[in-house]
Amino acid sequence: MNSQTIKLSLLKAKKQALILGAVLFAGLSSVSFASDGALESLLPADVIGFVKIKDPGKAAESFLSSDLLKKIQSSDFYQAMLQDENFAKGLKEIEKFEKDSGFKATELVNEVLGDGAIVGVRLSFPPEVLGAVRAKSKEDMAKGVKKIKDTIAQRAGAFPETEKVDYKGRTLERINKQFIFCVDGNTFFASNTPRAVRDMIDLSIDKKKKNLETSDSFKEVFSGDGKKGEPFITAGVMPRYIPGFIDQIPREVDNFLASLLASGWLETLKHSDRFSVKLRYGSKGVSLVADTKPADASEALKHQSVFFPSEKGNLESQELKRLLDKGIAGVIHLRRDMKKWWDIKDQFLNPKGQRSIVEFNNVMNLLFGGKSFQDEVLPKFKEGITLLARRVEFSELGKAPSPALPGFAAIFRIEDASKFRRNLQAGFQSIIGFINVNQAQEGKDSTFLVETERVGKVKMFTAVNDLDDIESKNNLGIEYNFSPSFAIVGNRVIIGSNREFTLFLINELKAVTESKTAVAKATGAVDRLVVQAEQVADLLKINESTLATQMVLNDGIDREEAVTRLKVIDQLIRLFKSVRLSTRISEGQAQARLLIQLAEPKTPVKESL
Amino acid sequence: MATLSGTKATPSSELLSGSKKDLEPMSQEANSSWDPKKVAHLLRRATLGAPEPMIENLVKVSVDQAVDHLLALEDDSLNSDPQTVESVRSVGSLEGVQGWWAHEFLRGASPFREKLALFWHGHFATSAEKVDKYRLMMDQIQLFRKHGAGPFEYLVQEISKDPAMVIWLDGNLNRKGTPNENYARELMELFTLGIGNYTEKDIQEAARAFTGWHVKRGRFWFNKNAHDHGEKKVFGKGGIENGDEVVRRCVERKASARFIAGKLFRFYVHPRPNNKLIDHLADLYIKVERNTGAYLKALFKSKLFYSDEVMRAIICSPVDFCVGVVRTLQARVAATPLVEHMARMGQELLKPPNVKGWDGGRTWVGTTGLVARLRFSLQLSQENEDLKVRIPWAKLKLDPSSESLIQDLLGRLFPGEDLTELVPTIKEALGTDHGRKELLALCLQLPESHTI
Repeated sequence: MNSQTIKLSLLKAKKQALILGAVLFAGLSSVSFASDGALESLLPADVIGFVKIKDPGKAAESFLSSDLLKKIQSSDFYQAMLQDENFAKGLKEIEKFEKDSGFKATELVNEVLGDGAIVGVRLSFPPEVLGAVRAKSKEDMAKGVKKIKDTIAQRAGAFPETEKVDYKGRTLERINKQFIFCVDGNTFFASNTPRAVRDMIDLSIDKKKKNLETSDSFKEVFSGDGKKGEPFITAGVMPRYIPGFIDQIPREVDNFLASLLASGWLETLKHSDRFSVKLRYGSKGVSLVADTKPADASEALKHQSVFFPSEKGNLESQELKRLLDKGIAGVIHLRRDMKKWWDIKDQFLNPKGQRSIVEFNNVMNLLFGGKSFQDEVLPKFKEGITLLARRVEFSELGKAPSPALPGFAAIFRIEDASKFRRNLQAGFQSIIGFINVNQAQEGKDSTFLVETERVGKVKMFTAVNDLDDIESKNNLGIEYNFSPSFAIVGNRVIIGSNREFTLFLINELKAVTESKTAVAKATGAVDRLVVQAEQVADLLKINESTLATQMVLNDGIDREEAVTRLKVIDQLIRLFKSVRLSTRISEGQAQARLLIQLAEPKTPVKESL
Repeated sequence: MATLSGTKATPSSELLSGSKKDLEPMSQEANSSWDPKKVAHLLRRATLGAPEPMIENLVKVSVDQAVDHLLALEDDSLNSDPQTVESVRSVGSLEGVQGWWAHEFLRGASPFREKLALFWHGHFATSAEKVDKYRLMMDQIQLFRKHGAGPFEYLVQEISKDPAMVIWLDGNLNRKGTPNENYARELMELFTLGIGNYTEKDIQEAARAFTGWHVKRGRFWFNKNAHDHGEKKVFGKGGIENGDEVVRRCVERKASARFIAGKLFRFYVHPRPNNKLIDHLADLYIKVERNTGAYLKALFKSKLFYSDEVMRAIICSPVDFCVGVVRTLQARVAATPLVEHMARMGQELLKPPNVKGWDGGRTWVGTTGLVARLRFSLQLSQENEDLKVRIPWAKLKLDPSSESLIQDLLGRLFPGEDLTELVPTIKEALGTDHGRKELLALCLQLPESHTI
């Protein structure tokens, strides 16, 4: 059949990247031995970005036999997915593909993609996309290629004719003008230019040539995996080659909180020469580590001491561990040198942000009643700031309000914090006083009263809302969540939204302070974020009625359907144990590590015989 | 408003006349008919929208039975889901309360109850702009839902003690020696009698009767220390101890009967009754002991209600338009975004524009209102994701490939009305390449869609 008359509906319908991906699964009959060595050694050194997948077959097998998949399949979430039109359509497509090709999808991944695949981009005109796929053996590759060719032929009427060119004993084949490929043993090369395919073949022959693995830009990405072994997915890019990317990263932000949180990272990204990501998986979860390498470390990390002061070995790690073990739902722990940041803040704030600083300064002056925040308090701020959320039991009220919000708290570490107690107390009372005056002016009845109580040697101050008699109420409204309070434990100032939560923190932090345990070893960590799934799920559960009502009103569904959706969300969340994000600086490079932990089985899983 | 059809979709500006006989039940007339057109008319006016299943059920019974069925409200039951009510009240946000009430419009068991509550909400216009304790606004709406169809006197006595109303009209400032006349004035001018049916002296004396009617911690509180216990005279008669008695005196006056009966008539039947007709209405209202539900029943059963002059005489409010079309199509939309649409059309729930409520009538169809209605029509017909629209096309039997699609849709939207002459014009407007969504969008722009 004339190739010009053959309908290439399948090929026409897909974009070039998808064509490349689809045919990467294929291969032609090999004529020579397979390449060995790392996949990255097959791409040229001048690639500006790449993605590599290693041992996908093993990953697929691992997932298919995992407890996680069993849990998903037995969940209401999965049943709900099966009802979804698009998901069901996707499953049918896979079924059809398996039927047409004679391949099981898992076979395809295991055999043809057995060792892995890598795709890279190289700057030229036109930009080149290069890819290499390696099967476990040349027989697997040949088998896979044949099945794919047959599938395409079946759908399109015939497999398109290709132009063939010989190169160093290998055959380069071309479809249209933009897809060139070559099978070399168990390896399949493909690109949109013949030059790129030839380059990859050259690298497979001559191992001494400079390649992606040994390139100046990315060699560090591939080294140093050590005992952990190669990651499942590795990706890297040089941001300066992405048009407009660097320019879009702002230098100035419009509020001080954003600056404290993000200015350091924004600077690092702006001066980043290379950005890489590694994804690993295991029975306990998934980890994703992102690294940046600066072009000029002195410029990129000029403000390292402000935004990335590492933990030097102090109580913070112990405190965080203890709190997390005691049911904290989420914590953000930041390390910033507040005094140094204050001195350079104008570099990172636009005019609106600078106005927000003035307001912030006024509030802080009020809070530290009588002291100048900028000159007397700020220099005493130590680097760790912790923000927390936890479920509150509302034991004082006897019943939970609706909605039952988590308690929120902030912990600041201030040198000689006890010297600020009276100032904080005065400031707290002033703020409460302002609130009461405001309430009265608006004709509202409720009044906050400041009560003091002792927790051992610690004084806790709580603003109690003079609310109605609780016993007579059938349900308590949202305002019953709040009884703002503060206390000072050692050098930690605790400000909480709810008395019960503040009391909890006082007791826990006292225990760490008073213990004889040695100071924790330095972790080098900068920022940490932890969300504990079970605690989050519990919070959602106790607020099920409120959340269901929101869905009824906002989504136009019945209450039953809303409750079912919430149940599905609950099951999904409980598949996990926690999400942990931490950042650190290591040899001039900034690193972020995301760890998604799966929930541990409640009962031991019986091994099958 | 121009009409494509030439049918009378434009409300007349002439005054409606009517005799006592016209207010007698239609069922007493020998050759009266009860057909889908009349049933749909009743449904659109008494409730919100005219869904086909309701028409099919009600056309099988008599007009009296149909009216009794629609206006039946179980004692002390508001039919709301208690968990939803509790959740919304606990959070106490404006959006929550608005969304909850819109949800009752859309899915509540008694659209008659909701529409009547909306009438009272406009009549006793209290706005969340000032009453920012939104739970109290919710409580006020619940008051209208619970007692709106009962004796008017009782309703006014309750609203006089309603915390939202007290806050709205500065009741806490009304004290012995320095009476604040706000509530007394509105009570007479806007709530019970109308302008010209009282004197300034009546207002001053009534204000003294309401002294000490305060709110404390979100509840009504009779502050006896602030109350003026002295002798007061309203309408020339003494013996008034407190505000309840003032309310009774206001409500028992003939002027009040004319005022309230006329206002209910303008909302539900025709916007411009003449004076003679108002007299007859007042007599009817007094005959049923000023009970709102009984009065409305009598109106909905009357011959006048089904006359040609009354059909399509009212330009529908945003609530009537939006909720009406959703219920007619048996569709589903999300309540919270619907509140925004109605607000853009000029009717934001819980925020009447002034103490007189919403003016209604042609003010609904100014430029801004019409553009907002167009926007809603397009979003509804396109099953927009923000509005979470789901239209049961299969249930409505609207097959896009059907030759009679246009007639079928017109039949669903305007049951019992012969709009065949519209079909060629609609076909020409749409062209050949159109689906049922485009057709629905066009039909929702017809004048017939904006009048009830």
